[in-house]
Amino acid sequence: MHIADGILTWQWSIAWYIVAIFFVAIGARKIAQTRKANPAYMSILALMGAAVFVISVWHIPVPVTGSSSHPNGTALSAIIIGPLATAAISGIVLFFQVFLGHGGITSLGANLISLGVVGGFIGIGVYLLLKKLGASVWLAAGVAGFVGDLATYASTALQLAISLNPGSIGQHWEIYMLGYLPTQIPLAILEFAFTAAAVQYIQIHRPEILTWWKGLPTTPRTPAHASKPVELKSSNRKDHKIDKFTKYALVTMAVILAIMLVLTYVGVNVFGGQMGGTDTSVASGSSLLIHYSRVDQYIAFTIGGAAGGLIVGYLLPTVLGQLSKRTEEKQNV
Amino acid sequence: MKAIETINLSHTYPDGTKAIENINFSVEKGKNIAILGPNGAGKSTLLHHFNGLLMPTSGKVNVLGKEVNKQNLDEIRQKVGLVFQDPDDQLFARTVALDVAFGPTNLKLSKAEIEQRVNWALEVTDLKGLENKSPSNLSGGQKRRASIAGVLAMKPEIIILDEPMSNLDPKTSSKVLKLLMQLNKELGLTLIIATHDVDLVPLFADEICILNKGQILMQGPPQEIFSQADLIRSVDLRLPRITHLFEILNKEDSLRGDKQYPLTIGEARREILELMENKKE
Amino acid sequence: MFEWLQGDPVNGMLMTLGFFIFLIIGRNLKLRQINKREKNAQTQATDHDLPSADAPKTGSALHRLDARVKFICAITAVFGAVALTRSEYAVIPIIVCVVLAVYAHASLKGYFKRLLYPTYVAIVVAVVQLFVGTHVVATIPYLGWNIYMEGITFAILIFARVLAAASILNLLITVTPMETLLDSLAWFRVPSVILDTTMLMYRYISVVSDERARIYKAQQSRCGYTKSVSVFRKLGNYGTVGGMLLVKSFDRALKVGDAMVSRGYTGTSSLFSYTTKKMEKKDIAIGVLVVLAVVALLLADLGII
Repeated sequence: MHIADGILTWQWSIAWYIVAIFFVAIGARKIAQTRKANPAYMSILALMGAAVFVISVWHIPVPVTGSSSHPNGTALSAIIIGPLATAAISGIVLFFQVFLGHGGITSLGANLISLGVVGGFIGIGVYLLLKKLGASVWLAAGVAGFVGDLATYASTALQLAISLNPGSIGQHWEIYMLGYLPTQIPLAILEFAFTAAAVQYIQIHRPEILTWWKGLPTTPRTPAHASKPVELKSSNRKDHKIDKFTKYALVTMAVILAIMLVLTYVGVNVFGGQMGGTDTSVASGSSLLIHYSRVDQYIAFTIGGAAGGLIVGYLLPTVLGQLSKRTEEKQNV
Repeated sequence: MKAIETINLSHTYPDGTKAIENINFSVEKGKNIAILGPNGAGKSTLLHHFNGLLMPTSGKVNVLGKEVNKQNLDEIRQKVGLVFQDPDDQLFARTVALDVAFGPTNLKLSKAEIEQRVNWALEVTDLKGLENKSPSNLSGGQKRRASIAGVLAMKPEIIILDEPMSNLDPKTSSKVLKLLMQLNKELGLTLIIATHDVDLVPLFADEICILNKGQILMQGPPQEIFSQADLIRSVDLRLPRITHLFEILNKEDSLRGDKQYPLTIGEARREILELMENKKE
Repeated sequence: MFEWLQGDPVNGMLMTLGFFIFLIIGRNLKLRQINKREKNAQTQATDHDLPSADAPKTGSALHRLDARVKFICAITAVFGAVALTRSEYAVIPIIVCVVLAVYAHASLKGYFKRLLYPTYVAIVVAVVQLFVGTHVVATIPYLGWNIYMEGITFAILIFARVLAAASILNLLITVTPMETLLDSLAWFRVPSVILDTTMLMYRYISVVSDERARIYKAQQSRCGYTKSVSVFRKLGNYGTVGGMLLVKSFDRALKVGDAMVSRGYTGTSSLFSYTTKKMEKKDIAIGVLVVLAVVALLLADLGII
């Protein structure tokens, strides 16, 4: 899970940055060393990184919630390019993802630690351990994906708790984990299935991919397969317009709000009225102030209005459709 | 002088497949040679030896009279340019200009020299104005020309092309062919082109080498090669369409004698005109 | 019937606001559902749409501004927004960003859509913060949880910070093509190993993404994702696409490596020689102004000005 900008305090953002830069530096040094031994290493690293990036921004429908989600792919990445390189690659991937509206600039360090370092190292650890215990490759990879995902999510929650509620880290850690549970559990399940199937496929077709980063510098050389051409993709951007209904609804809302505001202003200031309320705090003020003592009321009313709107809005197209159908039928008759 | 010469060249991959065996191949400098062969004949493996990407398991490769070994790889790679089949494999830089500059940069040239070479290569391949484009936004033909420019900027004496005309529409393909002819005629480069497009081969090749199952079947000028139709068909290749037509005209309609069949449309046209005039008389 | 009006006028306004906004949301939800059923998810949009320099540009002054200046300004502003202590001040960057986005002819729909994810992350955090503090203002009926004064202020502050930071970033994304920023990364003294990897990755993301779309379509065309296929099989199919993608990328990587080596690359130095342009004086001036403005905002926030 990516932390957005503005949630962590700036002190903690910088602290995580320093930790992250440490890991990226180690990763970068490893990459520089390896590429000296094997110049082709850069291409393998970059293409595997690109593939993991593409996988990590791929919207996959998640069965349980009905929404779609992206797999993190860090465990997968650690299995195929090694955990240290994964730390460096995660930095790049996260930087790209900032430009897709995920994560943030100030929280990049924190995200790198939770996604790239914790997820990667725990993922590869679980994978190697399970394989040593005799589990099949797909199971080891799947569990690595699952556990790696949960570890990422737990460390994100911990980062939030440390930064925001330093007084009661333990308690708030649990609370944050609970809060993100509905989206993170399906994601972990998705990660399990995805990593297991992907690694299983590689194991069957090209098992050397799973071990090449350990056995450098001798990359396997097999006869090159004929590859297919890549077509140019045309970027066609749909132009979106606000439809009529939305426009009218917004205008109506603005009008009603304006009338209410004017009426309140008139009622309070011109007539000195008390709007019928017994609470003098409303009447005494010349402007509208939000009263924290009434927050429960506000929330209740907002939720009430929202629920009503949601139901009406959801049913409206069906009802309107039925109506227009009927009128058409009548005209036809 | 021989541009490239191989002596008893064999290569076996780590998994045991024998890709090429006992190849004795040679090209004269300034020639334009086509390597024809069905899929999996070992064309790519052979080509990779000329550039030092692969080292022979046994036998040796001489480039411009020097044997390829680990010590002179840099020199060999500057002299022999290799253009890959899929331009996306070769154009890995952010922009076209950066990619063309990749080779010269590795030669440790001065900045001015690099810039001058990049400009020259882009001009020759008619890519001026696309320097700052990303390779992923180029058309198929542009990509192909950009990958040729990347090799050209190293000022090689020999260029090896792996299927340069594949996956291109007819017009683009003829443009690339024209560019290759220009490189061969004007700059005097030796071209080695691997292909299985039989129809195009007689248009450009001075010599043809037919490879099958890792071995050279025959080598010689196009007329000589295509006169042995049975042998060509036995290795899953065919005659050029126009030659095939004249073969049928000869065998089924006994229209002409034992003369050499034409290989290109130009030759065929001349022949037909001749035939028609003979009839008039 | 109108007893609610007798209370607080804010009640009525909030209720109206809630009603209409959710009226629109609800209707759109239903419409989307109908659309989905009709289209049956035939076309899969490319997910990777990184902003590209070759895309048609709207040549506003913001687009032309040096990418380095924009990046530095954005980072300073984001850090400034994160360091804010009063939620009122966060409104300033939000408004400024929307105005600038409109000025740069950015798609407002995309602009607000990108704000959704940060908002979701912020909501959970903000809600949790409500229950932290010392001064009880309300208690949730039946559950007995106390909502605290400090919690509310802090929750609003976090929300304001997130929106402000996200707006700034959003503006940067909409007016800066990724590529111009990548070209200027060398100026920021990013180590060459990381730079090389970034450039290569950026180059191949579109290639790999197209490949992904092709493999996926090939599976789709043979009914890999129809209703009759079980959920786990579907997930397995997705995984197979991922596996194939990795295998194909690996094969391609070997060829790309050959292409590098065949042009004399030895791995001892960086792949490309990066050159950076000089910054224009006008751009530097704009950058300095923005940084000063951020500092001024922060000082005002701390009550020094």
